[in-house]
Amino acid sequence: MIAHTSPGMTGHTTAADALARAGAETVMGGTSEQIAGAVHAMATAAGSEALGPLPAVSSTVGGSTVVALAAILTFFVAVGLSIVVTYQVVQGYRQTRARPFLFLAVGIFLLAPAPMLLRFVLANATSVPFAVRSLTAAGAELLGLLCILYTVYQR
Amino acid sequence: MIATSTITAVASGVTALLGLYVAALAARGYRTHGSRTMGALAVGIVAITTVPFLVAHVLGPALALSDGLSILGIMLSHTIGLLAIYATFR
Amino acid sequence: MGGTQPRGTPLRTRQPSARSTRRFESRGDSDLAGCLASGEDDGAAEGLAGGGNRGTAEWTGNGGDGGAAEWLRSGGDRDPAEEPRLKSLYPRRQSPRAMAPAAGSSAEELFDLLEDDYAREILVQTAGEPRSVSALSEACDADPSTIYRRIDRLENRDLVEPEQRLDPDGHHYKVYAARLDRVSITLTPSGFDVEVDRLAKEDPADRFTRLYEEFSG
Repeated sequence: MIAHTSPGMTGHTTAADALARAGAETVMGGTSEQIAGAVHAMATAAGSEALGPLPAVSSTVGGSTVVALAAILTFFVAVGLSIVVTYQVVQGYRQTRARPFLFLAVGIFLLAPAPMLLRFVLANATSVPFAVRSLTAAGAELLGLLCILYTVYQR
Repeated sequence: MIATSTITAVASGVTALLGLYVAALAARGYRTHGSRTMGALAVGIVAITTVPFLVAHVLGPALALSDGLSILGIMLSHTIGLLAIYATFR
Repeated sequence: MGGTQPRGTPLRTRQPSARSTRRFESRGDSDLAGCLASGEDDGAAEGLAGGGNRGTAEWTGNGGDGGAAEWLRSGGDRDPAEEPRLKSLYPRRQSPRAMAPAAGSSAEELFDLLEDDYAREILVQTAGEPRSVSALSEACDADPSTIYRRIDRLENRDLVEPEQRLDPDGHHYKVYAARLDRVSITLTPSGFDVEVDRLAKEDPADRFTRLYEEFSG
């Protein structure tokens, strides 16, 4: 991940800024300088809402900016949905409270919300490359599918 | 030392296949019992497991998509899958 | 197949709601012994079979929950009461025909097994819903070891199927459900043809649907 710092940014991290950066890192994770620049511009913009005018940063290529922003936006929607679905899954298990439903609940959780939540956590907590995050997500999905199959075929 | 990306590709591929199978079970439930819940579940599972794999490892190289577009595709598909699973409840 | 019993033993149809006493008549011949199927309190079983004559053999059994299993064999007639099986999740009563070997030792084994009072009672008890060994031991008023032996034999013939359950303490225990749906005995010049109809195992897609529908509410 390419880190951009400009004098105005250091030590003035706001929540919006950090969130935008986290989202960008999660999604982009070391792809291209231009995309990182676009994200940084967005982070700057978010920061400037709270802190006032800040020095502008690098320019970007139009197309990839849109793509980058779309990806980040999608990711945030995904994280939000993940939280909601997790809640639904927990509710579903609490209402039935039987062994097969536990595995079904765990399976659905690992399949749908967990990969996104994992991506989000891994991107911010540790400096894990994108491929590893994808691997973790795929692993979670695989485990989830196996749990579901166990529920279906166990008698 | 096998590259991480290769392991990821293999894992994604296995997940994609398994997801297809589980989605097929759900789809059969939809067809036999007319259960829209199972239909949505089938769509969700495919969108989460199979489509991202296709985008990243088949469509991406085939259409020479940029990294950003591939990632966007993956994110978008997974989000649609999450939406479908959200729709299965109650 | 000697004997000079009169032909045409009257055929009787069971009314599921009627309460009647057990009747048991056996000719004592080797081929087909008289069998008695026992039901629960409300149900009653009545069977009479002629082993020695060429009359009709009738077997009527009543399940505990009012479902009646009834078949009668006469000459070449098929049971006309075969109602169309609607595909549904509850109950799982789709039965593909499972052919048992035509005659010979396995048919004898089957007869022996079904002749056992406890085995029949176990089948009746588990026809409506799966029961555990302790529940069966109570219901049949028998030692658990007796039940285990019968369950073993029934399971070997694939007439009951086990299922794992979890009790509140977190311990695994097995419950058994009857898979037997129907036994058909056809008399042919070359001997008795035995056909065993079993309930179909639950289709994984159906189980998935059933579970997930309940889970998602």
